Amino acid sequence: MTMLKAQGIRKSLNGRQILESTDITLRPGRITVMLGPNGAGKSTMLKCLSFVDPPDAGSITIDGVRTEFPARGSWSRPWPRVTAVFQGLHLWPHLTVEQNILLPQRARQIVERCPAALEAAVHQFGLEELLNRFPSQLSGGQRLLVALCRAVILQPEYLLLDEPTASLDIQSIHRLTEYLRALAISGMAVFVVTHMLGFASKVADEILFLDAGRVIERGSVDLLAHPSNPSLQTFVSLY
Amino acid sequence: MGALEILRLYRHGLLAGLGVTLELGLIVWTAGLTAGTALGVLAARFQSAFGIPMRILSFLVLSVPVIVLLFWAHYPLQIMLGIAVDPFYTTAATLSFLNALAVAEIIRPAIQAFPAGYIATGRVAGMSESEILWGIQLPVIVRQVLPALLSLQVIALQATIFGALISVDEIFRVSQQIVAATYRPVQVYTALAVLFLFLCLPLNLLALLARHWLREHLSVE
Repeated sequence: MTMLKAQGIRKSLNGRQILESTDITLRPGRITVMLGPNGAGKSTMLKCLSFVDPPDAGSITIDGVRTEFPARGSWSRPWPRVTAVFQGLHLWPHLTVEQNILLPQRARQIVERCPAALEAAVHQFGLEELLNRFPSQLSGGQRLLVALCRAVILQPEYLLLDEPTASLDIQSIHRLTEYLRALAISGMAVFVVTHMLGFASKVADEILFLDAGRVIERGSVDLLAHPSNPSLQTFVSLY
Repeated sequence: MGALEILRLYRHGLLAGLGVTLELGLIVWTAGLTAGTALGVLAARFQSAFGIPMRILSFLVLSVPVIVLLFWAHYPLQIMLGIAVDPFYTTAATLSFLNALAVAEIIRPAIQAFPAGYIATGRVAGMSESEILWGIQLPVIVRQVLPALLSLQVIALQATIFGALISVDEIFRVSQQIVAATYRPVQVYTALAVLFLFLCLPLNLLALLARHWLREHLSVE
């Protein structure tokens, strides 16, 4: 079955347990939002799911192919079927916007097969005027759009986003919400890590609340309106 | 006797001296950049086995004036080893060694400080390790270290005149000999200064332009 299923994910960093037996399932066409206070382990979870920083224990099953951790020997790389936009965005500074989007070979192949693909992606994110600029010449919001475009043009099945609203104003957050909904409608499974309640309530199909490395609440957006867990209640009242 | 007359009269000697200076410069540049890059990469990759000893060595060696090291390599070292090396090769080896240490000290921190996020982003975009190395890591690091390397190579070229002190017939020693023969220090040394200006100015300008361009276009996180 088409889905990404992470089970019993554990991760420690510098001797400190960050994630404790966490389960997550990402399904096509759905946006899963992980909420939680700073230091709860959200970004670590995203890095585990993206295989960039694999978990110490647990398993990740992608479309029926299961990888156990700690992995014995080499494991098959799920990239760019699973791809991510990290919090720092990490646009490659020596390349223009267009070069950033087209550097990955997969992106070049897609554009070679369908020259309109680049134009469509660039148009979708409104980057037409920015193609020849360098990352240092872009605003925070523009940088996010470039990073998103760079990820989306790879046609991933699972798109993971870490704090995408960090450098955005209200209008840009509204646009981002629309982009993500459109991506989900196209069949992509989207996983978003954030601590912005307003954004989460607008974009999410499913909410996960992570605290001290454990998912302590999960459910629909209604969860935020009527939180039963004390930690979530505190979080909702503060944010 | 005017400066032009001196230049015309001693042109063969000056050209020969210039040839020796350029030859020394090329050796010091090539050996220093090649060995220094290799040392820098090794020091960054093998911190405890290679990086720390190399940093201590660099700290000690680069604290000693170049001229002292050159004299030490020319006299005490050769006496201790019971060998006699041509001053040209002593100068080339000493300056190459110093250049390599200095180059390594520019390369090592650039590699160590390379943002891991650039590599992670390349990986999740489906790029292979070699695509990431050639497409992301090397271009960013080269651009970052280029201005400092260019400035360092100007200093390395200028340092070749120390060879004159251990009898290498490079341009400065030839100039000294012409001054001794003509008693025209103002003209000769001014001509020498102009010559070095022509040799070093393009490199300095290139370093300046590279710095300016990088400030505009390459803000590494």
